[in-house]
Amino acid sequence: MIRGRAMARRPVPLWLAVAVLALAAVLVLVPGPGRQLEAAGSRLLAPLQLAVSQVIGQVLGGVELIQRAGQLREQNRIYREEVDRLQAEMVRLRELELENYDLRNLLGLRQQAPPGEMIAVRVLARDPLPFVQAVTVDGGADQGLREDLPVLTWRGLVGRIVEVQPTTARVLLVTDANSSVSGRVQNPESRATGILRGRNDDWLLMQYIGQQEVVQTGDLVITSGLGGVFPEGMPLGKIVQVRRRAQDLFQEALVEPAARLGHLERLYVLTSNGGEGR
Amino acid sequence: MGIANIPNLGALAPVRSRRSPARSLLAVALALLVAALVQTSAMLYLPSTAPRPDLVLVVALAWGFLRGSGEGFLAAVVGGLLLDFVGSTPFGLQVLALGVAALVVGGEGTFSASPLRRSAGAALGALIAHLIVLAVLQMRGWELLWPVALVRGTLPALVADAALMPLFYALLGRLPEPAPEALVGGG
Repeated sequence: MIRGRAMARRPVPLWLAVAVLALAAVLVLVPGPGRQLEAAGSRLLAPLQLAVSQVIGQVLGGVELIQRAGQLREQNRIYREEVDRLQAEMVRLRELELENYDLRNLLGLRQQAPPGEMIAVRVLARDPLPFVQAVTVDGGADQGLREDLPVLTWRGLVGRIVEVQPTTARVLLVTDANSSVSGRVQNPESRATGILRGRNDDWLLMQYIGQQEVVQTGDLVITSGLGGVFPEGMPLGKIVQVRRRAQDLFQEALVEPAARLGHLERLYVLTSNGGEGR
Repeated sequence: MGIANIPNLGALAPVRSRRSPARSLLAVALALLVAALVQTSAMLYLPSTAPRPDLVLVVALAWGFLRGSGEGFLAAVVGGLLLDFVGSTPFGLQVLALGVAALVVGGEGTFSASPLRRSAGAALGALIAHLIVLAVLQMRGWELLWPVALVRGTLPALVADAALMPLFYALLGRLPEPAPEALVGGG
């Protein structure tokens, strides 16, 4: 039978497609078999993710330097003979400056932080799904990390580790809907406690605050230490709105997270959470 | 003397469907890897309110529109595997979601005929993938705020995916196609 010379595209055999999708569904429902494959893939991709994030970070740093050129030119008029050398040094010094600033603040945090070793990690990637608030960091079981360890910056609590691979780990941010942290209002008139839940946006919702408690906009919220996962005293955020109705059993408060969750680079994992454990 | 050699009738000779050349398959695999890295590592530097397109899915669907549902499905499975390696959701979920989306939308069918339809296909494919992910996570006991997830997550992604499809289709369309091979005799 004669047919046209049109290019025939190869369709997918239905049985093959069903088999592949069924296998994927089995892996989703029965987590065990996929873990080793996931660990291997994660180990392979982590260096690429680190390279991409470093390159983009450097490019953005360079753009910022260009925007500050006017101020730098004013300084360079005084140190004219060192202009060329300083421009070459700027890129390297910018990175050192960020690290120095971060470490100085970390030193301040260690003086007030609960006892325990801190392991510094770098953020590699954000979860590809828009409704999962989680990041991947470049530390894993090989570096001593394990599930449920708190993760923070010098500004405050970021989240906790929920999954550990040999060289990487996933951190669930406090703004994820699956995150809940027991918190206390740092107000001398009130030691109100509540549960801070993520909303998959930029805020936290503090729930189950007693009606009789005094809670005000601007109050700081810290971890209460209840529950055993997060030690007491870690900054969580600041109250920006209080919702109180007489007919309700509890008050609620909207909290702005202390940590800048939209600009995460270096994080610190507290390896001894100081809690009673779960 | 075969039909292919008959003057003026050679163009009617039957053809055999061909797989894309190895170079093209390698190029699309590289495109999937780059898309996965950009969708995860590069997105770190976007504001939290910015739309987050499903780059891997768009690449897979574009390839399916160009080369048929078979290669489109394969691209979706490979892309889903890459996202499963780097994501926080249960392993296999992205393969399932992207695979179903490619199966429903991809290939040379309703959605491949024009740029507008391809963009619509990208949006529909993304919607299918997102709904599958949300449904499975819900089944697995994850806490989900469906209105927030759909309005702040899915809807902006659909718009971004539809907008990016023409670009990705044009870029992948520059890859070499397999040459048709005339058959001797009937099909």
